[in-house]
Amino acid sequence: MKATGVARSGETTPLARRDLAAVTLDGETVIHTHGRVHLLDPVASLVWRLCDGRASVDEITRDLAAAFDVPDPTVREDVVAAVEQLAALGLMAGPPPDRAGAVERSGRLLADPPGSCPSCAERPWVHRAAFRIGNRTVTVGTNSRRADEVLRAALARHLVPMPDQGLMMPPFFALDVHDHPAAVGSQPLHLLTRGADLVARSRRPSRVVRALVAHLATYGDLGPLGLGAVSGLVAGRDGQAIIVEPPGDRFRFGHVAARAGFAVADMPVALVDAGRGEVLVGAPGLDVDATAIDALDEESSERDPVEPLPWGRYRIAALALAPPVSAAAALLALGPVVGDHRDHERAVDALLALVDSVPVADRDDLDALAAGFADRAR
Amino acid sequence: MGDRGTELRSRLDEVPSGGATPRLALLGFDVVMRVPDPTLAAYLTELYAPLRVPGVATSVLTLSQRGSGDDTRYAVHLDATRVVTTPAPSVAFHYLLWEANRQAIDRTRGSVLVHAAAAAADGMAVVLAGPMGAGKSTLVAALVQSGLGYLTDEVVALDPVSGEVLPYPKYLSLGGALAGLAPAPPSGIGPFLGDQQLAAPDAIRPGAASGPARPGLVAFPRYERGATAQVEPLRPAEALSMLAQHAFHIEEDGPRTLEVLARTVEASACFRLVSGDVEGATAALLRLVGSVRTPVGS
Repeated sequence: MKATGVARSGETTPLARRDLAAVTLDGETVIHTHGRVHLLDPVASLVWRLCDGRASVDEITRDLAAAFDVPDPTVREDVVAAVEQLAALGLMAGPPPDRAGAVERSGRLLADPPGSCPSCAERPWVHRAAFRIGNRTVTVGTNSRRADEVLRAALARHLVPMPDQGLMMPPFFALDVHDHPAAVGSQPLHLLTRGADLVARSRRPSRVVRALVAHLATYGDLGPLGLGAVSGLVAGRDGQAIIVEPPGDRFRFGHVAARAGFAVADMPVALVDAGRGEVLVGAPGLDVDATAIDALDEESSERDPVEPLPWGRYRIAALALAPPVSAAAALLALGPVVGDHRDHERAVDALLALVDSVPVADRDDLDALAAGFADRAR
Repeated sequence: MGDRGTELRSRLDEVPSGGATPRLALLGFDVVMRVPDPTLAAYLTELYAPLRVPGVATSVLTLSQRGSGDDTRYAVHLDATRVVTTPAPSVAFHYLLWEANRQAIDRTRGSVLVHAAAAAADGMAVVLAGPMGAGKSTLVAALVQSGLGYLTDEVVALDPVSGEVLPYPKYLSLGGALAGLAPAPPSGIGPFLGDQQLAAPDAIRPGAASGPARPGLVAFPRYERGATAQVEPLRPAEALSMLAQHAFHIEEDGPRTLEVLARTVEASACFRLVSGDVEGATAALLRLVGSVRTPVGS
């Protein structure tokens, strides 16, 4: 309801919202709505109670004037002002705001609390797209028209009209892709960020876009796929994988792992199929046109010093933890993280199954793990 | 506790730790805390002493130490869910206490909860509500030191049937003028405590913890540098609106929350209290307590 001017017509029959929590004490009314508490003075309290959708502003005025024995014109000004103020506070019934339901139609918007995404908020991401992932909507911002087009093509089946709110909020993921690689010398790094965190980087644009798609998939509906999202990195070699307790610096760990012959997946979590004893690297549940993504790379695109573990399924050979190492400690080391938007119960189920079926090893002794892999491979 | 919960709890019991508290009833949060240091476990047990209950808890809060040397990390978990990982033990310990309190609020749905401190004078609750930094904890500590019973320094739980303030006598978090009331912590756990000044209720005054008490006085303290203590009566609706602004869960259950809070202010004398020092504010509160218990002319 547009407040100003409406109540000035004496024939208007205002209707106060009756679905709000309200208590009246000594003539004053306290109302709670949408996280705010309003205190109405005695006049506003009376007006709010008399606005039943049948009585007109003129009738309410006459009733109050008679009750308080004051002239109509004096009371009318108070009634009009009160109705307009009540409407402005959202305490009167009216049509829903124009944008109401926009987000609801496209699923829950995946968002961090306001202010928690400084790097995204500060950048002028000119291209934005929203994707339906499971029952959620995720917005992605990028500085690259090409990356935006590729992403829209690669995830065409998941693309949704941008919810209004999405335009105002920082994107959940941001792609920093350089459309014009340097002609000579080292090519620029392309970056994938989530909030203030750098989650993937590469000199090949396709790699960060693949990483984005894999990250998006982990927020999907993994239950029907038999997957639980365990908090660990996936490091693999020889067709097998270990799930590693997240280190302080995943990029440094990638280099350490590479020295022992392991490649680390560009995934935020380990998607565990506990029934089959496997971990899945990729974008399960998403309909992805990977060819479109790979077309992003130029012939001149450099390979990274440490390449990621390719998408696929891997048998889980071990869990690798920082010391102290024990099966029970793995529950804590690889447990889900508060506020990560994923299905925690399914993750705990997957972990409980894993700790009973897979050996637990020392993360700092990757060479021993690698030797075990080689033995099994032979 | 479901099958998953039972199995998880049993597996978490196998995680080596330095020590654990007994089962604690933090309002609706039924928990045991496990920490890497036996002295820290004993210290926590003392801080939460009045909340100790027999039996086996359904939840576990774990503060664990992982890795070694420069890569040492401290983690806090609620069951298997990681709350935080940090290289700083003081940050981890802060999160442990914070999460315990957060869960106490989240898991208590029968009572109406208000962000407030409270003390009891012969069965009458004195409720001190206000935002962080208003001086609630300091004032309630001063009242307890003056002989009142201790109900809570953080969350007032109102029984919707009896209207009573239910005790949540966790440790007091002290600062400012009363920081000295916090006894020196045992040696060796300083890195966990950081600059926190915590005191078990018994450290403020032995036997301080109170049973349930009926609300009789609601005050909204505010610190103003250099101000002489002044009290100003509040109209019931005014007090209700101020109290409601500090209510937890009002979004989910607005009508019941407002109704219980309305009964609280109707049963209480309500005041705004502005002061510039603890002594003045405490004296003003004690005078109010006296006047409410012995109304003029009675």
